[in-house]
Amino acid sequence: MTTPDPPAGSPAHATSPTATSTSTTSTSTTAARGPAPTTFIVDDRRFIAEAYRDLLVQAGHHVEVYSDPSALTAEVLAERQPDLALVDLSFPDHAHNGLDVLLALHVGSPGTRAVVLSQADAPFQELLRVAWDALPLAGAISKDLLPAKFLRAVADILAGGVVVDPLMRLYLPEQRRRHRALDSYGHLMQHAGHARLWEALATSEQEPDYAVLRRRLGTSHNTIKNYRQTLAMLLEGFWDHQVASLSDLYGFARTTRPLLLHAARPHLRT
Amino acid sequence: MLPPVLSEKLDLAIAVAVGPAYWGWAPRTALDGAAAVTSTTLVLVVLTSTVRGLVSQDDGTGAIALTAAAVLAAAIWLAAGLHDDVVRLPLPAVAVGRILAVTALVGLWGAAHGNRLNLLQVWPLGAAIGLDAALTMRTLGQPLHGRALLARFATSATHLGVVVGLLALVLLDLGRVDPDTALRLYLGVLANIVLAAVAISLVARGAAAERHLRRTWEADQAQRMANWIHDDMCGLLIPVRTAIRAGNLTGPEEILDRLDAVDFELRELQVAHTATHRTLQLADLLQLWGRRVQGAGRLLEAPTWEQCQIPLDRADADRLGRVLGVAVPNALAAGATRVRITVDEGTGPTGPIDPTGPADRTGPAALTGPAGSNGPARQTGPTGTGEAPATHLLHVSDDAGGFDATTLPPGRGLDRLLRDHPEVRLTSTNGRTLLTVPFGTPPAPTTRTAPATPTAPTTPAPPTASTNPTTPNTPAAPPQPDPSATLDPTTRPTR
Repeated sequence: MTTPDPPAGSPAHATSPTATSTSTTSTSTTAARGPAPTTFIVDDRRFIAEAYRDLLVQAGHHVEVYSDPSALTAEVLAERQPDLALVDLSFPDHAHNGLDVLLALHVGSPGTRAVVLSQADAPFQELLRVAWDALPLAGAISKDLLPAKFLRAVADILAGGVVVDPLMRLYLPEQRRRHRALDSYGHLMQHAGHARLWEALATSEQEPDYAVLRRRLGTSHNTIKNYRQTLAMLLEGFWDHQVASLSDLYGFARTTRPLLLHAARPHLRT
Repeated sequence: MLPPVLSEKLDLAIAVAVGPAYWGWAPRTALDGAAAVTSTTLVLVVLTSTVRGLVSQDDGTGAIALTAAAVLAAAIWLAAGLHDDVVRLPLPAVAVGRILAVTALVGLWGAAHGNRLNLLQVWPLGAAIGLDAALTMRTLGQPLHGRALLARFATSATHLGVVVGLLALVLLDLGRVDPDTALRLYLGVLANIVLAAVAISLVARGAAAERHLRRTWEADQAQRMANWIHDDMCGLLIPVRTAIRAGNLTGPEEILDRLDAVDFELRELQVAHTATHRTLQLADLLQLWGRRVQGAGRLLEAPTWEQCQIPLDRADADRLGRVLGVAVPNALAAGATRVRITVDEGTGPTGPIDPTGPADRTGPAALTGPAGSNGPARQTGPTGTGEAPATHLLHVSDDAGGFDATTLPPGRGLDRLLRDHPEVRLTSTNGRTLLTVPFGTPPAPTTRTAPATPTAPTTPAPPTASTNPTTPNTPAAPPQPDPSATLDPTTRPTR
């Protein structure tokens, strides 16, 4: 990770916080003086979020903390247009996760520097790679980074750089894979039937079987089987794992849920 | 166009007829596998009985043709039911093929035994069909229940049709069927239905037992997790809290150091637990030690995901864990500002850290080091002789200033590592230190022409905490700090 020293007068040299306000979903804190970049921290771990909030406020940021990722829709973000968003990926107690927020940022506020701020753990590496390949993220930072280095990374990102923490490199490909870009998800469905199956898989809390899908889609077993075969074929070379069964498709759909649903929307409207 | 209810029933009936493989069935549990094997065995029993009957007939040519037909019918039924490639065929072809195959098998069995209508003796087929249906319905997500199936059959139109049909045969004398034969035929149908229901019940009962076992296991896991949190997580935090309250950890630096140590121990446990349920990958080990480097405020250079997708067997995981466990703490203790970890495929080495930047690699000469610098025990290396070939090389280098590699304090961590693992190469030159370790087992050769390669010393490395498979409430023993691997500020950069 290469992060130059922040220039004098940059956020890293700003002053400490003076005010704090809390709402049901977010806490907002503003620095005392200077043009402050607006930074959203999206993390359900309160202590972690507050630690980063304090750090960034000391560095002169205007910070808002969100613990519920569903609060940040594309519409909300389009209105708020934060300069920087530090987004955790894992939200085990919520229906949405960090990927929803990153997509919403891309759609609603493309000018925001979106960064994954994660513990760099193996269980979420798949989600991290999906986000990294699909969306133009400005960085991926592990929560193990020391405060000074974290602030340097943030300054670098706000200056237009892309920062990848070496720990995150362990889980990220050398280059973004173009065939997994957001637009490519549209190629994973040929018609509304496929889109409906993806939607059913992506939104099922438990792995659905033929019986469930048949009821939900109102179609025959054989149609579901044919869709399964086609979708598995379309996923060849796209996904890092072998996909053949409904269970495999479910795994993919759950991991990439927001991106799949985003791609399925035009089909579902028709 | 059929009414929705009928359409749904027909769809389900066809789905059952085509068998489990068409729907992507794969044995998820031992029960599924056992049911498939039993079903296959029962079909083979019917086939054997049929073939024996047919070949014992006087009409040689006819018997051969019928035998071939019987084998073909059984093969179609089994292959279309259990072979994955069946999904490529159209559904009507598979459904009709399987139904015809079973019908042919029954007919040929009758022809072989001179009694076309005694279905009682072909009972294994009923049980096989029951198992097949049970597997198919489980795959579709609608598990069958034998008793319910019997009740449904008793009141079904199919049952009524069989009874009316047999009565018609007898009363109207349509097929020269006497009442005795009709009764045997009816009992045969009934017996096969009952056997199918029994087979389905057995699968359902097995599935219920599996669910119970799973619930018990999950409860056990939850209890183990609770114990683990109590024993390990709280067990690590309590001494820190106590030390702070007692005033033994006064300054923030001391508290931070202790918390870093706790964090590292937890991460080690995490890796150990990961190793209990899946094969460790290189990234699992590197993240552990990468955090240690970054946590100490030093620069880390790490490989990318593509380079880290290397599964580690137990011996490799232990060896790499040990090398990292010596190299990283030594580098940090010696004041390194940068630790570089790289991976090479094959035998191409990477040089020690060069101050000009991370991309610089000094090439093969870097591995040679000063002549004779490592002593006799360190002369063999990844490119040397007398070792098992490795698919990869891991390099850990630092810029801590280097040291005289000929005067390693005996018995200290680095010395012990090099003695235990002669395949590990140490180079310390120009203020840089590099440890290189080969790992990864190449796939076995497929030809017989290559002579056997001499093997490396087979003494396994002592298991380390980071790779020990453990159960959640009996985690790996805490790592025994290497004398030379300690971060204790009072112990200084002696290697």
